[in-house]
Order: sequence, then C-alpha cells, then structure tokens
Amino acid sequence: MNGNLQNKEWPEVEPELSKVLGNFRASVKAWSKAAASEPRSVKPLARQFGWRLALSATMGCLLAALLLTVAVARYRERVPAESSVVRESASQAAPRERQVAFAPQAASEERNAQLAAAARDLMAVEGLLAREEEQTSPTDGEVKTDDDLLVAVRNDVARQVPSAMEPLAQLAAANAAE
Amino acid sequence: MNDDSAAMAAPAGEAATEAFGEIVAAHRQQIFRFLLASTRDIDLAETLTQECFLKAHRSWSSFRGESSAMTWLMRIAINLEKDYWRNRRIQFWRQTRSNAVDLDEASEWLPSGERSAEARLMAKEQVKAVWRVVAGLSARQRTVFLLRYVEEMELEEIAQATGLSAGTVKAHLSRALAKVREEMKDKR
Repeated sequence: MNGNLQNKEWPEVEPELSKVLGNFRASVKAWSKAAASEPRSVKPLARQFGWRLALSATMGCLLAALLLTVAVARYRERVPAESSVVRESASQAAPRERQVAFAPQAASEERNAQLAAAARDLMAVEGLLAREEEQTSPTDGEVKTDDDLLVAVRNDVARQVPSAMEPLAQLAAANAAE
Repeated sequence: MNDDSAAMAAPAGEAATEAFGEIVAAHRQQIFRFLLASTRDIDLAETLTQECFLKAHRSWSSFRGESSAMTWLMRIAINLEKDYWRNRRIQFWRQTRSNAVDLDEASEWLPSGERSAEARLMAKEQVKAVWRVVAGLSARQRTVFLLRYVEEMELEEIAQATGLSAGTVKAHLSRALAKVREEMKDKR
C-alpha cells in the first residue's frame, strides 16, 4: 500500500495534518486488530418493549378508534334521518287507519242490535205459542198437526204483534243473500 | 498488493473454493477495519464482514477481474452498510441497541511510537478530534475519507468501490479535510 499521502492526484495535505492523519490511521489499525482477536460471546436476545414499539402500538390503536368513531357517527346521522321520515309518514297514516279500522266495527254493532231485537221478539212469540197450546187441548177433538199449528201461530202473531215479524223477515233476507 | 485481480477471475470448482479462501484470508482484516471505522461498533462490523464475504462467495463465479478483489469486496461492504442504515431508518419501531463505542474509547488506541506522556496525550486528543469530525461527516464523505486515509486506496480504486466519479471523490475528500483542519484549529 502507498503510505505517502502527498500525491498530486489528491488535495494537498500539510505535514502537521499529515502526521495527525497518520496517527489516526495507526489508531484505527490498532483498535481493529485488538477487536478482531477478541473472543465473541453470543448474547441472548432480550425481549424488550421499547418506547418505540409502545408509541407505534398506541398510534395504531388511536387510529383504529378514530376510524370506528367516525363510522359510528355517520351511521347514527343516517339512521335518525331515516327513522324520522318513517315516523312522520306513520303518524299521517294512523288517523286514516283508525277510520278504516272502526268502520266495520260500527256496522257489526248495528247488526248485533238488530239481532238482539229479533231474539227478544222471538221469545215473545214463543210465549204466545205456549199460552195457545195450553188453551187448545186435544179434548176438543181436533188433533192438529205441527204444520197447522205453526201456520196458526204465525197468523196470530202477525195480527197481534206485527212489528215482531219485521226483524225476522230482514234476518231471513240476510241469510238468503249470504 | 493488487496481483489478485485477473489471476483470480472466477476459477471453477475446487480451485474456485481455494481461490476464494485466499481472498478471504487476504482481505478480511481490511474489510473489518473499514466497517469498524465506519460504524464504531465491533459486533456490527463483524456481522457486516460476514455478510460481505457470504455475498461475495455467492457471486464469486460472476467476478470477472475487472477490478481488484479488494475493490470488489469493498464495494460489497459499502453497499451492505448503506442497506443496514436504510433498513434501520425504515424499521423505526424496532428497538435496536447501538453498541457503537464512544469517541474516548475509540481514541484509546494509539501508535506506540510516541515516547513522552505529553506527546501521547496530544496524539490522543488529535485522534479524538479526527474521530469527532469523522462521526459528523456525511456517509459518502466518511467512506471516501476512510478509504483514503485509513485504507490508503488510490483514487481510481475509491471511485470504483464507491461508484462515484474521480472528481466527486476528490470533492468529498476536500470537504472532509477542510473540516478536519477546522477542528484542529479549534483545538489549538
């Protein structure tokens, strides 16, 4: 190797600096020689959680939490808007639905009243029938058939309680229509 | 010194292994010294030296002898060191212990030529000052400085090893020397 540092290829180095650089070179050579001949021992790799790992883990968690918060906030903004629209349309529809729900109920109540009136009239008719049976006995010598009796009763009811026949007639008409 | 270039260009088989063994024996100390001076870390320098020769062994068959084996090995070593520092910067979350020795310890090793204690003390201070400058140089300036003033490589060899032009090598060296002069001036 060329130990002469004074070479026209290179920047000029004054003698004092040349000596300093020479000392530096010798120092490095001595150190490397000693280091190369030192025995090496394999140190077990100790697991340590340094501040860098902790910092990067914290930043990762913060980022994930931020993303989650933003996603949840946007979801909540969307859901109340949708639910308020639904509620508004439901409140407008409710009165109409109530009207529609009550209409058939009113009609059926009226019909029930009619039927109840008809039932009362029937009971009255049955009472009349029972009295007539008591009045007319087989000792009169006349054995009447059931049909004859029914006809006679009907005629008597029509004469005595004309209004009782109307509900019966309406009910018969409704049943016939069904 | 440089008689190992063309003659060593990729022999085959057993001869290749033997030739490579000779290369390792001849240049291992030099590669280790350069890496030690660059990193001031004995373990790291040892690791990078091993990797350098491992890589050289893998690509030994492709060595054409265009440069000297020393220049070729030094280029591998310089690139390995560069890669190491780049990976360390990228993987900032990994806790890596730095075993670099401090400047005082590095300056302890002195040439045995100094006779008086005063002269030894002055030499030690000067070496420490140079170490301070070297630690503060850019990676390229430090590489060029060490290749020139520790490994005593020629201009062309340094240019080949670093991949820089001769003019750039000189420029880096001039700046490094200027800083050393300034440091020496402050010490007086």
